[in-house]
Amino acid sequence: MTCATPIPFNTLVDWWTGDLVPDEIDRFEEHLFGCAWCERRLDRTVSIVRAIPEVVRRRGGFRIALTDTMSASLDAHGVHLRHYRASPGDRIACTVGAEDDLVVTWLSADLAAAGRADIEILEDGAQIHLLEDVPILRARTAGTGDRVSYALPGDLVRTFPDRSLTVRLHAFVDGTVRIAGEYHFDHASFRG
Amino acid sequence: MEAVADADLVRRIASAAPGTDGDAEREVCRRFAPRVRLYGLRHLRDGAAADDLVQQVLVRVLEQLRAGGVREPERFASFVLGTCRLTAIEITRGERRRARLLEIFGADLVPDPEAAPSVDVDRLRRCLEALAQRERAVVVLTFFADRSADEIGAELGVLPGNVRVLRHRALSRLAECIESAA
Repeated sequence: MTCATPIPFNTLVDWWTGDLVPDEIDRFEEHLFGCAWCERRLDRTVSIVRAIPEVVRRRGGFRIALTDTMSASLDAHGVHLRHYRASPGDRIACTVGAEDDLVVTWLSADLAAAGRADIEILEDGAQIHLLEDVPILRARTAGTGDRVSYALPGDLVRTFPDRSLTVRLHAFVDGTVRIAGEYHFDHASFRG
Repeated sequence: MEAVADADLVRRIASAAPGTDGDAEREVCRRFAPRVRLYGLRHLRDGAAADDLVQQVLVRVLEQLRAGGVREPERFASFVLGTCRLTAIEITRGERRRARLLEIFGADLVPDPEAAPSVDVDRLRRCLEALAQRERAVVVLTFFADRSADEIGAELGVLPGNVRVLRHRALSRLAECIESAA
């Protein structure tokens, strides 16, 4: 069974997120109620989006660049976050606890002119992880600085030995790349 | 029964003595319950409320079918949608109706939980981690933090239209990733 005039995937998504105008909603819903094929496509999409909170809230966490809103929502849902905040040149002693679902690192830097930022994590000078095009959280008031973040799952960090990591923040400005900040983390392994 | 057109189901139920064509009535429920539930999930934002909507809508629809009240059998899907819209408005207003009829029609109207496709959350986590960071952030802000495109755009410093583009792309990739594993 197929559909001669299938609803575009983007329209399925926009209907769910409330981004259709009333006429589009009417057309969409009329089609949906008469079309088993589009109903099944929508059902599959809805199943995915409804499972996303379960993944995000799950014990142990998953890798993600956070924003302030995400951090607040996770906190409100009982996800245990351990935060570290660093400015360029800082050396931070860090670890992980038994209850931590996510270990979140907030890096501040001047990213005012940057259109993109990448976070590079190095150990003994070798890259061990690269987070490309992380969201830049722009300074809302003068003097507070722009920020980026990355969060690692607590389950993963609890496997780390004692180690020293360097984090480089790369800023992309008008086709050129510069290092906007370098940060150092001395990680003490999970002691149970 | 799956091959029978909606309009033919309507005529069968209307022409039978009330409540005697159980096969046709079950087929109406089987066919429309998932659509009504999706409508309820979207407009009521709650799984239990969506299940209530399914029951109430199907009760009303069967009542009308038995009474011969569906005047345009060829437009039966629109009739169900209209009933769904009105009932959702009533649920939103907190009205509690039709308890007596629910007792009569009973368990036939409860949607089959096995019918809904389930998602492997471990697979979904891996698929989420495979998205670009910006797409991942938009997905989590939308479907976990329940933020609009305008709010996400303000936080990430991008236009709301770009948020929607990122969201479309991310969900399309997630769907492909999930289905490639199925």
